[in-house]
Amino acid sequence: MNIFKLSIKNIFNKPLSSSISLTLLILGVGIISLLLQLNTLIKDQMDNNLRGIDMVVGAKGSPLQLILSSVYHIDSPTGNISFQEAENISKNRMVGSSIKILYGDNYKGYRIVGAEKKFIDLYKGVIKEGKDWEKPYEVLVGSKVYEKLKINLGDELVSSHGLRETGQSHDEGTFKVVGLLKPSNSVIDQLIITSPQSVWNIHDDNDHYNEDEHEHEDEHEDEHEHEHEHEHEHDDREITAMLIKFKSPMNIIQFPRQINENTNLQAAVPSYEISRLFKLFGFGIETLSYLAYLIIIVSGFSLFINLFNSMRERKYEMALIRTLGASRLQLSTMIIFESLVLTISGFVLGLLFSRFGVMFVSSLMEESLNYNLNSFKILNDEFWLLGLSILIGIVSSLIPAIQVYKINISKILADA
Amino acid sequence: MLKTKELEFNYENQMFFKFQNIDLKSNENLLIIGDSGVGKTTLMHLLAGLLKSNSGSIKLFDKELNLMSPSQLDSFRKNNIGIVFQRPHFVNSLTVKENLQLAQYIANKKDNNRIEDILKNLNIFNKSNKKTNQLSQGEKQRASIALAIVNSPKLILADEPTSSLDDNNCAKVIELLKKQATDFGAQLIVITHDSRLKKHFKNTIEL
Repeated sequence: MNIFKLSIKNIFNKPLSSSISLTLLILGVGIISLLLQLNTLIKDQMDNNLRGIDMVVGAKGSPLQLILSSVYHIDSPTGNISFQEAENISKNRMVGSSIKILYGDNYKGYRIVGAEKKFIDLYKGVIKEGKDWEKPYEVLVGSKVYEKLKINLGDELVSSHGLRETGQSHDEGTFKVVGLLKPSNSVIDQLIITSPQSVWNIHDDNDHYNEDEHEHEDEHEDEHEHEHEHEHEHDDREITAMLIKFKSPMNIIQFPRQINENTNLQAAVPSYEISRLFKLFGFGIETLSYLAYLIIIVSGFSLFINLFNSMRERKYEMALIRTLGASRLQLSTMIIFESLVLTISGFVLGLLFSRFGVMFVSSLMEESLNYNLNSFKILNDEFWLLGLSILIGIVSSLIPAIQVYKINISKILADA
Repeated sequence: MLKTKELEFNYENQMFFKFQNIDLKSNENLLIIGDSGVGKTTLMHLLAGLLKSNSGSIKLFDKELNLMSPSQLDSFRKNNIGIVFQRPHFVNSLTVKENLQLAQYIANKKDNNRIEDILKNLNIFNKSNKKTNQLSQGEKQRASIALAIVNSPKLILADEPTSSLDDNNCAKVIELLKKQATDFGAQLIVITHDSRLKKHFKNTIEL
């Protein structure tokens, strides 16, 4: 038996009144930690997928939407732009490198992206099994997609039109899996990637359903080999967006404005749009965390009332312990321990609560956005939260501890 | 072993007590008897070092209590004195055994065999793991005696140990206290208004 054990026994002796303060603290700490975790995880995830994309060019519309769709693959695209116009921009001297991407179809909710091969290099994608695509209709599959849908090398995927699961399915949209990608912890994990040609083929066939199909098909197969020639002819091919990296960071100020003013395309800067997005929901996060801090303060207050009342109930006990020879300091320590045990376990359980929260939110995001967050590391801000919990524990037990310190044993025992 | 001289105490509300001198030899028990309001509890608290007298001296085991600091009194008490209260007090969150272990911990001791011996001697060994509020009145009284003697005090102070008991139980409890004191080599001072106890003691002081 020792003072620390005694504190714990005392807590368990009054489980009901202890549990109210504890629950409040778990709630307060849990909410704040959940907000911190989500904020960090989402930001990390967003930054991670930015991959030095300085600018995105796409159809006019909301710049945020353009970024969300073509960089993060979570929103619908703003529309299509002409291949020719994109090509002109990519030849500008300010452009370091550019990647054209185009959407069209999905396979069971996972997007099929037509992209140039450097798209995979951008996300450091590595082929785990199989090989790169060579012909149209050959696809590489991201790790989450094949894990979720149990896709194997050589499988045939029948795509449906649009980006949602319930599109019309193409007769011609049968893709052959030629490669599986290693997990890269980036957006390509949840994509099915193919050559731009594949997407053009399918949609040309569809758009010109009543026209001469065979002619077109042949034309496009040729196109692959003579791409350069084609560009000089009439070209009605379209792409969804183009990801651009500048030669110099300075261009980020001038070039997007040029495009927005002088062409009918839209240029958006991801880093700017993302910080705008965070500012928007940062406000909500701030409000919620104030609420959570309030809950923590209330929990400290309830802890104080708790201890204060229990001191009055336990005054004979305190006097007894003193007559057994315990010092004033030992008794006061016991009270502070009782409070600290509660607040520290509140902190620990609160973190646990927030981790379950992260798992829950992650599973929601996975379902609706094919995005997931998984990291259980402790953030620096959470150490502050531990400090706050300890502070609450000490402050709320201070007055009861002083009371116990000043206890008049003789008077209490004489009143009995 | 106990020698008091000109002991005086006054409370803030002007209540004033002047106690007659006590001189108790080693190996003797003592009954201090007096009516309500003559300062019995005050005297007991003075002897236990829970209160400090305004003037006079208390010499217990050759130590002058009035010269000790509060923390010296705490440590003197835990090494020398066991107190049996009028109403048994315990730490309610602990079992009988844990209460005794706590008392040992406070006195920097650890001896589960002694706890076992004492509980067996008091016939409540089978209640070791019961919370104290699950005990009957009689069991509580025994447990509080156990608590008073667990650290092998040289002096057991008992405050009105029999006031709420019938004649039969009164005799039992006082004999039990005396037996425990003898068994564990301690002296016993009982402070009471209960005149039934007179026949159990050779030394009696009337306040």
